[in-house]
Amino acid sequence: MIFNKETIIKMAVIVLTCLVFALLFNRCTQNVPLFGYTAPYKRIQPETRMDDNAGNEDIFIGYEEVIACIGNPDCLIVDTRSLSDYNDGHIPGAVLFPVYEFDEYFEEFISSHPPYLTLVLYCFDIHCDMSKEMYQLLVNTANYEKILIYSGGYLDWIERYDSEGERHSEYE
Amino acid sequence: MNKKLTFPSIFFLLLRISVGVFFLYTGLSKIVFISGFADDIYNYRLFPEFIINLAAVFMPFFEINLGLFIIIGLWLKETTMLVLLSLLSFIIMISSALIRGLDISCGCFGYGKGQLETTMMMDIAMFIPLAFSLFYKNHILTLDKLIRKKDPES
Repeated sequence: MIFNKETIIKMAVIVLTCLVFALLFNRCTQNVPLFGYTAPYKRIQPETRMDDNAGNEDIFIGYEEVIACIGNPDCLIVDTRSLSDYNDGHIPGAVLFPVYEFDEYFEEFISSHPPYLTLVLYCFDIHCDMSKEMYQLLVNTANYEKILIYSGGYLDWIERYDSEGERHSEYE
Repeated sequence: MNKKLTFPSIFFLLLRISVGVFFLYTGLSKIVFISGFADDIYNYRLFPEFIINLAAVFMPFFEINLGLFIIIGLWLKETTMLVLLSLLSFIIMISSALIRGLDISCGCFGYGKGQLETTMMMDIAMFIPLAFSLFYKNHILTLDKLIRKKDPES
């Protein structure tokens, strides 16, 4: 007999213990409201997504614009990936602002980077959504003059580095 | 001691450790950004909104707890059953997302991470041998046995 009274009681104890610890942890750290659903950001509507080629097309830029941004004091490149990814390699001059740790980094980022700046966000490659999520978060919460997305991301940068390494190296 | 080291006992020990580490990893990767995990759950479009945050708060701890318990072999039968139930529910959720053609990430390894197909394969690969392990009696290196040795009446 797989199920008996003792088994069910033990399973209930495991579930309840987890629930108690989970509630305590949540209360002490992230304090997410328990009932309901709070999106961590305002969802990017499908029609404004890059793959649809509709809507906010003009926010997506390529390698050349990123190169131009590197030398521009009014422009800031923002790496939206994690700290470890950033440490593994990033576009020269890029500052770290992981989208997954938006709340932790937000205040420091806002206080160190004035709103007249043009931000260029990037993540891994054309398929990743982090820069788009960060775009939506910043549009809703911050007041930056202009926010752009480097659609090719770090992969595109690395590929260009291989093919245009000499030119690229002058910015490092 | 050597008598107990049969192929099935070693196999099920390795299985327990693998599944335990997997659950620990998935739980820890979700716990760092609970709202993000809530968003991943929401994307499945399966649950009413009022339980999404609660599930997102609960699940990472549940997975961590199950991972720990299955590795150390505490309440092994009950833990295995709960792991099987979790895996079954993941398989159902992912299958339903695939059937409906949802273009979402699984959310199994942190916010926005994990491909549906790959994760479902992993879940199935764990589910089948783990279901067999329920009927296996001679598990080795479990806390349950240690407790029973110390207190044979329990």
